[in-house]
Amino acid sequence: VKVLVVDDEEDVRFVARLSLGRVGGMNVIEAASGEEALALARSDRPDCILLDMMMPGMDGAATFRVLQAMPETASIPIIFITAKSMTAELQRLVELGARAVIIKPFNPMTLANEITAILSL
Amino acid sequence: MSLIPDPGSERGRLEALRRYQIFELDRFFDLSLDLLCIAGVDGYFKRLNPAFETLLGYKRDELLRRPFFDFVHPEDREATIAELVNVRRGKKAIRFANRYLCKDGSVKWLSWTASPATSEGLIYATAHDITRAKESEEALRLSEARTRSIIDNLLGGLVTTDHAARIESVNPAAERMFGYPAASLIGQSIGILFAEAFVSDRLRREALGHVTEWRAFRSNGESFVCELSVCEFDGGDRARHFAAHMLDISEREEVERLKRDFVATVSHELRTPLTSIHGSLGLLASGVMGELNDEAARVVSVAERNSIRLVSLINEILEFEKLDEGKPALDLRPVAMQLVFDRSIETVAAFAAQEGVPIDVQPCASIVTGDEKRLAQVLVNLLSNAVKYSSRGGAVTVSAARADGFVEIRVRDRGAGIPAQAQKRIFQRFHRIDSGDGHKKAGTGLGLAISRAIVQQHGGEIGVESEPGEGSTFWFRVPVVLPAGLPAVLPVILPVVDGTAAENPA
Repeated sequence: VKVLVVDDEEDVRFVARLSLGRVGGMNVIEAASGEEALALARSDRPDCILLDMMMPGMDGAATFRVLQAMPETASIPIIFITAKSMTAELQRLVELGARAVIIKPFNPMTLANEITAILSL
Repeated sequence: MSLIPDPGSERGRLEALRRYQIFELDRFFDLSLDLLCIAGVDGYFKRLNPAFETLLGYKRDELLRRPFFDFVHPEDREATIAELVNVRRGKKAIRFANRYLCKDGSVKWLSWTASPATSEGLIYATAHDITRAKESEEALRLSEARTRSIIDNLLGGLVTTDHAARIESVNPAAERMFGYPAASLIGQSIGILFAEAFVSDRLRREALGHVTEWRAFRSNGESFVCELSVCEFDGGDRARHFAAHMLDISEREEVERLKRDFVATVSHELRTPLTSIHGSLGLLASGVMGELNDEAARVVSVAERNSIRLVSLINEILEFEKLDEGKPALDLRPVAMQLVFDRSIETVAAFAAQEGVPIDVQPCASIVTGDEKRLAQVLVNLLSNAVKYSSRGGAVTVSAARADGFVEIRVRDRGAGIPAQAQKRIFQRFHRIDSGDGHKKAGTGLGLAISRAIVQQHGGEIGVESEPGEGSTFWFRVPVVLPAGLPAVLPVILPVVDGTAAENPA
């Protein structure tokens, strides 16, 4: 399974890479911004995108909309990852058409399993 | 008051009769407590009864020697002259009031009735001492003015209504708060201030004797949060009257909102760095990064445990902020309390065992309306507190009882107890119970505040009974839906492993 991790925080990407790669045995690619994510999604065709909501510039919501609009990436499942758990924020994600959301901080030992479970739904 | 000449037949008998009649009148004259006098148009008393001496303290000849105006209070002389002019013209004076100066410097209020005998140049007058009535009238006026001044200067709005919620009075603060002049509100239903037709019944039901919050409207249509309490009073007419005290708390609400937003923002921001810390430590502790030596493993485990604690603190704060806004919808359904008991005991069992505090559970067959997970959260909180504040070997007892359509759950510990003044505050957020033995207890100080919010969302109540040295009993009650004793079919009991719902007692 190839997962694209999109987060502007390098440390978070590093932990996610270890959690998914070392613990979960997944193939991990990283993007530090929405723009980078769009390019990688098109060129590398991941099986899943783990997308951070709060990013400078093109944020998670904007990135999501473009990925959904582009024919090459429209079918890639996207899982949001966010630090915000307010009702309003979750509601916003639902309205956006999010399939699943993981609230930070995630458990590094179970992250891969959670993603597998979401993908199999 | 004149003697009637009686042209009789026998002179001596008549003379005797006349003398007797004069004697009789003199007796009345001397006996009267009211002042009786005959005065001349020259401004002097001609004749006075002894009541003058008694009341004013002057000797008779002092009174007769000086013009009677000397005895009238200087401020009343002008009015007295005007009244006398009228009497001289033949008009009777009835209950004319003025003040007389007494010999000892005091002042007496007199109420006069006088009629002229113009042909003789005399005035016949009686006067009654009304000093006491005048004084109480004045005292009443002062007390009225004082009360009025307090009401007019209150910072809170005060609106009174009759039994039918029609406005009877409005103080200046209420005029300013609502933007209406008092005159335009008097006679209207109090509902005009809340844009709600049936508000008066609700006001009476909910705000009588309680401080409550309402959405109110100003005359320009602007709405604001109004803190309101109602009291009933006797208007002296045997009818029920109500007084509503109101405060515009929109500013306070705004500050509260900003504070909540701030706490929420900070808490969310903390999660991002925690993701890296918690994740890194988790990976290290799991051994996937390679085996650690014993000491290193211990160091990592300390750091990991505390990062978990930090995460649950933040989760708890955020959850409380949500509850505070009444946000999370409860998943209300009939819940077997037995399930809630089992769930909760299971969650705290390990912690209780570690602390050496046995939990004694009495069976409960009641069914309530509620959110099973949330009710378990409350019970877990009460149980872990009870364990936390018990000493080793001190048992915790859980029991349930039904009363008045409610099921009451009681959690009793044999800890140090909570002093009375602290009992009132422990359900407030960030309040920590002082264990009394100098031991710091872990927790956010939010557990009981969260529990209270959850119980209140269920339409229930939560409280504590405690005697220092005797332990504490925390209780909460939630409404029942099904009558007890029904053979309820209980759903399958699933073990609960839910770290977020349960307070982490570590």
